Amino acid sequence: MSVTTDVSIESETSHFSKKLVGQWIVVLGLIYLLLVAVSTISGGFKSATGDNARQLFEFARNPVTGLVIGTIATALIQSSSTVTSIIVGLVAGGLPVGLAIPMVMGANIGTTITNTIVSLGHVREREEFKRAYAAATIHDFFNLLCVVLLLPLELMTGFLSRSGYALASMMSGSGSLSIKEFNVVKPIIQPALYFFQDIVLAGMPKVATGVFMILIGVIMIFVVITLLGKLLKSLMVGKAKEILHKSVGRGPFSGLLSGILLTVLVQSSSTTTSLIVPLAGNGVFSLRQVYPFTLGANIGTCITALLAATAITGGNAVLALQIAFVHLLYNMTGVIIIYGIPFLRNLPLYAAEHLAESTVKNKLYALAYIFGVFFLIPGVLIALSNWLGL
Amino acid sequence: MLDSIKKKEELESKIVDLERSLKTLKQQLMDEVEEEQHRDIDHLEEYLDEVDHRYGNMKDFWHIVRQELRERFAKKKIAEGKQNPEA
Repeated sequence: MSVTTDVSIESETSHFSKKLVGQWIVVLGLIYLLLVAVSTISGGFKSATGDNARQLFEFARNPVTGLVIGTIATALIQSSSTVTSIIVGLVAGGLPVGLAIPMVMGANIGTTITNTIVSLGHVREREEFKRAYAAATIHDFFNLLCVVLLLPLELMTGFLSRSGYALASMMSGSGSLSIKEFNVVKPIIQPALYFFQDIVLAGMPKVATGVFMILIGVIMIFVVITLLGKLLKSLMVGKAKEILHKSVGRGPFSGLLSGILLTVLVQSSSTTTSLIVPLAGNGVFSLRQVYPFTLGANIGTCITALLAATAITGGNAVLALQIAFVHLLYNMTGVIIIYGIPFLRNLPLYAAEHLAESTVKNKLYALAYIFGVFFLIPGVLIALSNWLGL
Repeated sequence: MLDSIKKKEELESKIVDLERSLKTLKQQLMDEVEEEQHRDIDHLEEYLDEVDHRYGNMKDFWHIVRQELRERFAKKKIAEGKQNPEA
């Protein structure tokens, strides 16, 4: 090999390494902005509502309303990470945890719209579409079953909020994430918060400041999580392949772990579950093989809310962590109970297969399903519960 | 008597051979399936692109749904025409 070729290879490698380092610095920057955004929502909510957060959200006292809000918001934004991060910020700002829990459950349902839409791309090949559509909707049916089983249980026993609080109390200690009493988050986040409150929104009435801060925070979270998702997808694709290769032929537990790892790496359950659709559509992976992988995505996505919760300092830090842990415990409990009990495990499988069979014969079922599950039925449930005065 | 015992032994031996062959074939099938899965995983970038182009999928899908609806209505009209030829 000539000296010139060696030098050009070296310069290309060095350029590539610099690009990689640059991308990782951007990732860190986006994570910082996520923490700032969550704090901004929390601060904004406190300013806007004062001590009246409970009264403001009285309309969401009905858990069905909370569930529907979570479902529709996530279906529209197509990102459960965005919605759960916003919920963490709102809880830290005073939204009662009891009202936030159904919203978090709704976010789980709403996020499955993305992989359902991806499956529509396989419509031209009958058998491929059937497999892809079943792989997408199995996630929906699992999450719906989770809500049906765990929401009433939570309302009756409060097991999620109690366990979430216990874990959050253990972790938050003095009320903010500290390492040996040294608060690492506050000094990093506070300058950005002061920038919004005292410079950008200076001179505005308190409520208006609060509302604008919430809006800024929500937009920031949406943009940050979208950009983070795109960047991590390109950075992590090699690692993702490695994880998937290792899980081949190793059974459902390995599939579950792979789903968790992959989702943590790309910070998006929509991306992970949408990857399943073409893998299953090609017929190379069976529905039973992709099923645990999908469940792993449910658990892996909880990392974003936990990360968002670290942004909160002070007395409400434990509440922010509590709702983040509730999200994690809800998904873990759902997987353990539903996947652990054979009868329950098979219900989403049968439902997905039957729906796919019907949809292949009449494609209108797909549209009716998307519109019905993510918008119409939630709307009807809200109207019904209001009419019943719940 | 001896013939009967010999025949049974032969049959049992054939069954053992068949079971061994079946096990080998199942293993070969599993290896083939896993090989295909590994090959599919290597196309992960293409599948990631599918997620980004999902709205294009909806357009495609809607086009096919409209075609199917048109065909259904056309068939219905023909069926109605056959039922009421005087009309």
